[in-house]
Amino acid sequence: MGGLIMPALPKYLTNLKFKAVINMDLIKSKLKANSAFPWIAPSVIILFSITIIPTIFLFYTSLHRLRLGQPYDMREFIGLDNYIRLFTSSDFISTIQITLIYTLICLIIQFVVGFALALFFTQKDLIGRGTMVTLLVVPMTVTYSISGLIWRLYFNPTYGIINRILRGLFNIAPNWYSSQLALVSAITVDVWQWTPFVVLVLVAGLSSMPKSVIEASLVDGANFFQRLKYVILPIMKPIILIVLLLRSIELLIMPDIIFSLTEGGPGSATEILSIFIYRTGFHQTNRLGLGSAASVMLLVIAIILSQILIKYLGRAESNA
Amino acid sequence: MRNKNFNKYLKFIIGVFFTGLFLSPYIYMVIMAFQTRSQIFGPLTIFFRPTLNNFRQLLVQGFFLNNLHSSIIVVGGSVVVGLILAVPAAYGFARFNFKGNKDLSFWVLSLRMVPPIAVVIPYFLIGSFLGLIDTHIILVITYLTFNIPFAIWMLKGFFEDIPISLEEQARVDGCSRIQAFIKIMLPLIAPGMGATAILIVIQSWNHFVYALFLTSTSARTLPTMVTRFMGFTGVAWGPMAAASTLSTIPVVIFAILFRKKLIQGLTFGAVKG
Repeated sequence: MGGLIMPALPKYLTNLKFKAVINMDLIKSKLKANSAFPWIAPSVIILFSITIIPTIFLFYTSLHRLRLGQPYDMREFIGLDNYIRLFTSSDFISTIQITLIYTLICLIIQFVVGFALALFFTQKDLIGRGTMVTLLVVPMTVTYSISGLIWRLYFNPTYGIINRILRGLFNIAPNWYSSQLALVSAITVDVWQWTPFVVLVLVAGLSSMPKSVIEASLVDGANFFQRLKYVILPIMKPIILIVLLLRSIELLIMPDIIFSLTEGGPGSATEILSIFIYRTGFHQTNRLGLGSAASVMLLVIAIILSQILIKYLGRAESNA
Repeated sequence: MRNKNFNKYLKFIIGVFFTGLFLSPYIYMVIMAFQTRSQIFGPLTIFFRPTLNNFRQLLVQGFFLNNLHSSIIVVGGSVVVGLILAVPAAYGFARFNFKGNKDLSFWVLSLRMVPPIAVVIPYFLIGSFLGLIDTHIILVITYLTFNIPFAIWMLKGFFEDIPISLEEQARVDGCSRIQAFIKIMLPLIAPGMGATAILIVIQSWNHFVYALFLTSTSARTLPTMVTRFMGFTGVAWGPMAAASTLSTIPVVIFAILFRKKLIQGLTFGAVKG
């Protein structure tokens, strides 16, 4: 019986059966994919509600005139006026300039010094290499606001340790609190605190470089600078980009050091964008609306930088 | 041969110099914590009679202990809540191959880079509506914005390092996915969870912006105590150095012990320490 019916089975039915098998696989794989949902959902939902919702609220507030201390109902819709006011105010333009100068100088010094020190600390014949590298982690772990504060004392023109040393050595005592030198002071503190981080990242990168590559270049008789240019820098490029992007994001989003060192002063000599937001929104003018508009601008810059960073991280991950 | 040895010692001295250059501001602060006011302003020397007066004064004033108390509650709270949420999520991202996995996990990562100062205004407003300003709860919530992404990203790496065959074996033996997760994966991930918890402590302990804007007195944390010492003529240098020393020492010790993991975590796994 069976033998009779089986050949007679219409072709579309066998096809259907085949399709059904495929569908079962599909459903299974869907189920498997769907079952990631209960694992991930709580985190994603909470992250969404504590980051995206406040951001939308921030944008909404930036379209209003509102002062700190006023009830929220007193807000007055003014469209893009806050943004127009930002871009036409000389304060904001100079803030952007200071932010750029501060970020770029810090980045350049931290990279050049950091890379040189990383090369130095990866030399095989350096005695005590491990201990030195380990101790370098200390500056970056000192609470950033506290390091601003202790350096405020060190920079004190009369009693500070820096001027006591300078007076002893060169008989000079510059006023580090002055508007000319305040930005230099701020850069000094950030360089002290974060150059070691650059060193440690690059040391980790250099130590994981394939030895064969370096040995080959040594055999080829390349001198140090040739090796640096043609071998080390190209291999290290992804890590260098990642560490520089990380640093620029942190320099932008962390006002801690400047806040406790100078509070953006004297005048507005060290008023980077994050300090501008604090001064506009909370401290001096209490304009929450205008401060929100400035916050949106900072957020946009941070998002752009972090997207670039993520692109490189993704590349580094797929290469690994 | 002599020349080679000379080079070796020269390098050592240069190395010590640079390490010392980066360490000395911190060491100097710790020394100041044990000095009297006249010793701080006196000639520079490491030979002095150390005093504990600064620490005593700090404890008498009280605000330091209050801030310490807040810091411990807030940091502890965000470690516990952060890990409870991040461990399953990291497992989900590491073990399930769903569409959009990569995009979603990178979105989570990008939240780590949201500028606190940019979103502090909406937090301030929302916190005022809900009556959460100056409470530990709002700090725990805001700290989660950077701790959950960080923890997910760290733990995802640890989960990926565990061979999938171990889990499969357990499931062949009749465990459900949850059972396999609890019996096999959690014990294996425990050291990674410990390391992640410590890195969260380091970062949350130092966090400044949210605590500065969202608290005033009762939930103030240690990093914001700097405002106590700012703006006064005649800063109490000794007590300030003592306060800074006490609040930084736990983190400095953790960081020295977990340096490689810290660097790996801060670069989101781009370098393996």
